[in-house]
Amino acid sequence: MLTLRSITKGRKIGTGHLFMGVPALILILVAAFPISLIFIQSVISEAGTLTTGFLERIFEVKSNYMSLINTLSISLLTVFFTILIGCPLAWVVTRTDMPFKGVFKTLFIVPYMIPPFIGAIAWGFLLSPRTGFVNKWLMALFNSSTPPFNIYTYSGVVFVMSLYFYPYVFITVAGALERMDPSLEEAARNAGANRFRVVKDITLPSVAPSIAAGALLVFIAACSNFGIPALIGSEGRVYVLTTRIFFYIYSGGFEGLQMASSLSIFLVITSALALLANRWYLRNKQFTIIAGKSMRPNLILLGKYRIPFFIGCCLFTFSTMFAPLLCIVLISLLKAYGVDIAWKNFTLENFRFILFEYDLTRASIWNSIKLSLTAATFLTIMGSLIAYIIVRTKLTGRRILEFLSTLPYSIPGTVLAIGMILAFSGKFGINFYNTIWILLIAYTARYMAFAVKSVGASLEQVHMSLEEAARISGAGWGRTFRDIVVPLVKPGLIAAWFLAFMPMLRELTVSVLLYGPETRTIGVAVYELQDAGYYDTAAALATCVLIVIFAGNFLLKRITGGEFGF
Amino acid sequence: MSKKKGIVFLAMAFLAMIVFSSGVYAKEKITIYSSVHEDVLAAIAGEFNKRNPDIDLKYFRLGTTKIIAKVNAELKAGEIRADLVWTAEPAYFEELKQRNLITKYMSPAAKDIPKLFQDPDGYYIGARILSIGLTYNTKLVKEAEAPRDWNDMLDPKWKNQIVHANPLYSGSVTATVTGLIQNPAYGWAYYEKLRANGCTIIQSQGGTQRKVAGGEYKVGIGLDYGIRKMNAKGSPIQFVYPKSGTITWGSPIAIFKGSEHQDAAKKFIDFVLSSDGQKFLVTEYIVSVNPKVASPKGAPPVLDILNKALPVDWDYLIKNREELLKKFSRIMLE
Repeated sequence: MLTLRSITKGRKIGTGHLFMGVPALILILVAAFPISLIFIQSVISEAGTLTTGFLERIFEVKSNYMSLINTLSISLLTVFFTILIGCPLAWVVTRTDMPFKGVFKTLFIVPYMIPPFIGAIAWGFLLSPRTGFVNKWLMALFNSSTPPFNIYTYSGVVFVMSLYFYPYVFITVAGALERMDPSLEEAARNAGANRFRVVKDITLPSVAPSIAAGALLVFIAACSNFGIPALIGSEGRVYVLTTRIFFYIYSGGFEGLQMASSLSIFLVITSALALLANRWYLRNKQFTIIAGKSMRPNLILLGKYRIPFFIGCCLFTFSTMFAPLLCIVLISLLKAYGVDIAWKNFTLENFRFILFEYDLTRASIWNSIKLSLTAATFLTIMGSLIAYIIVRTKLTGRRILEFLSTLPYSIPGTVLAIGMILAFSGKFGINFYNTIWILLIAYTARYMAFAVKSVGASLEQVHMSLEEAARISGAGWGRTFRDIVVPLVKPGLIAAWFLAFMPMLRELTVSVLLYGPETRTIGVAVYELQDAGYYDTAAALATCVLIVIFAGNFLLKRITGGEFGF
Repeated sequence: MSKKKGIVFLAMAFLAMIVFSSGVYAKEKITIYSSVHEDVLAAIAGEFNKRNPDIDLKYFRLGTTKIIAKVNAELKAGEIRADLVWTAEPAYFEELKQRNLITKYMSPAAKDIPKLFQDPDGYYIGARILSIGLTYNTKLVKEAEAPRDWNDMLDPKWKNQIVHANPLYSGSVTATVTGLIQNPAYGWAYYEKLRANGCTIIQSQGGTQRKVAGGEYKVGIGLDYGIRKMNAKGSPIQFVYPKSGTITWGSPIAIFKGSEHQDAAKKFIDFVLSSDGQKFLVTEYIVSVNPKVASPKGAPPVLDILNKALPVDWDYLIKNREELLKKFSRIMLE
């Protein structure tokens, strides 16, 4: 207790600070321990001696350099485009009087719910050079013989990634905009600034930490993503680190795993550098814009721009969400893949199979919902405590905690899954292999970064004075946390929960190596179906899953009076 | 906070209930890791469990390369968690045999099965036939113009219209490459020419089927039964056994040495190899290893396929796997 008191700069310490030690320990157990086992593997030879041989071999191969450069440039471009898409969309749905903005707020995160390999198939349907609908339509329209788009290129990878990952920026920024102090903007308006100057000079700078948090998540997600570069990039011979790592893991044997682990170190370094860059960007910025008083940001009246904005959002939704979703639904209604899209070829057979014949449908949906609900709740609580330690205390080692929370997300899912097998299948006294627990641990570890980043960004915006006031009035640490901190960062907490919940619902790369006979998940079920060549059936299952998600979201929103749910 | 903690506690208790309630089994539980498709496995396992009420067979369906990764990780963590393994290509089984990880078992049901599909020492045995050949989109390519032999793929009329899967992802594609590069008529030069004719490499055999059926590519090199199945369902795709010979092999099954349920595992192998077990494969358009079981509609009898097959030396793959994948990457991927 004494040491704790001294490092928290003499602030009063309650049981709360000790309570925070628990998530830190858990983080070490679920993240640091399995991942370090992987890296230990990479420097110990089969005979058990220390070696750096394959680290050298990695630098010998030119394609490893090329894939590193591709990874960095693709991820940076993706970050750029996600900010460009995510911020305006977040602003429009939270701060303007655009019609149906509540509906759009839900629609804008739809891409996030579609499993990437299904999305990649859908985008292939739309934009593949020879058979893409959009290409065929444009070629007919302009009487041209060359297809205008080719999805299987470098820019195709950036395009699909941007559409997949902008919700990270959208959700974190929307959360920040919702709880901004309106008096700053009012002051600027009173001083004569026009609407757009207010956005540029007041609104944007004050949500900068949230943009930065979202951008960091996007960068790390893009670096460690496997599905999109594998399905879209590889066809155009565009390779990234994750596809190289995959090559090493599956080129077989002991050495392959070592090479893969060594190459993963690049990804870890990249994400560590991204964290540092983020920290450096925020170093001199004061973002405490929530300081009590009024909390209801005023709306900006769009006036004559209301309808153009609305039409713009409709077009965006149609082209980036509705079109690919329509493709998935169309595929699911076809009697066989590749037949013409015509009434005579439509059938509900695939849905009949999925709903009434295929036993794994209900089991996998139920497993995934169970896992995602538990893991999302668990990691939101732990992540908030960790974020609190990082933002509010001066504890030594809190930066290490921050790094550890990002680590499991910055390495490829396959590598993390192998670490989990090494750590939790009995060798060290804990045996969760083939049970739901190992999935729960892996999910919690993988998505912890979301909660830490999202809640952390919210905390940065809340001024210390409110907590101090509560403490002065005699509230203990726990009471202050419950009555002051939690309500103030609630949008951040909700955002964190959803950011983690949705990708977990369709998680594939980690689950595929960790699922057991009774713990198949949605992602595994859809993947297995399409891997077996049943694209139409896989599309039907994906459609059912999307309906479940939409319905669940709608109900949640209804029940909680719009407080929960997007 | 307390409310949330309550929710979490309830959720954990609930999970614990589900996890532990599934642990009550009086039956002998055995597990198989297999790349055979889910519905086939489900049908075979269902029938096997019905015939052996004292055994409960569970299966994991994963692609061959993922199974190898899973088994390797399990080995490092201590022991393999399965009793049986049944994946695409024989070379992996030769490796398992050499590393002393599988047991010898000469099934009485093996007597009908051609020697070519059996390990001479009895450690593993082919339990379904996989054949590699050509495929084309029947909407875009007339039957008369369709490719008939390996070299037809090099015709300039297919320029940029050819698709081939990646040996890094799929065991059956590794087998394809092994078969072609060993053959003096083709060799690595065949792949160099394929590349020059604009052949695209995608992930999996499933992808090849989808892209040819969907018309993104007119022709491809692919795996027989998946294409046959799509064709039967109505997709515009056709499989062609190449005139000068297909690449064919038996996808092997074996028992892990560490298994504590050797007898139950042996019973399963007996069942899979029997004509009763094999008929489940035929309903999925797979050719049976047992010549007494009729081939699925559209496929020739197994002995006819064998007579026309290109010779493949699997030892080559065992010794040169890394080299082969590297060279393939250099020619086709970079």
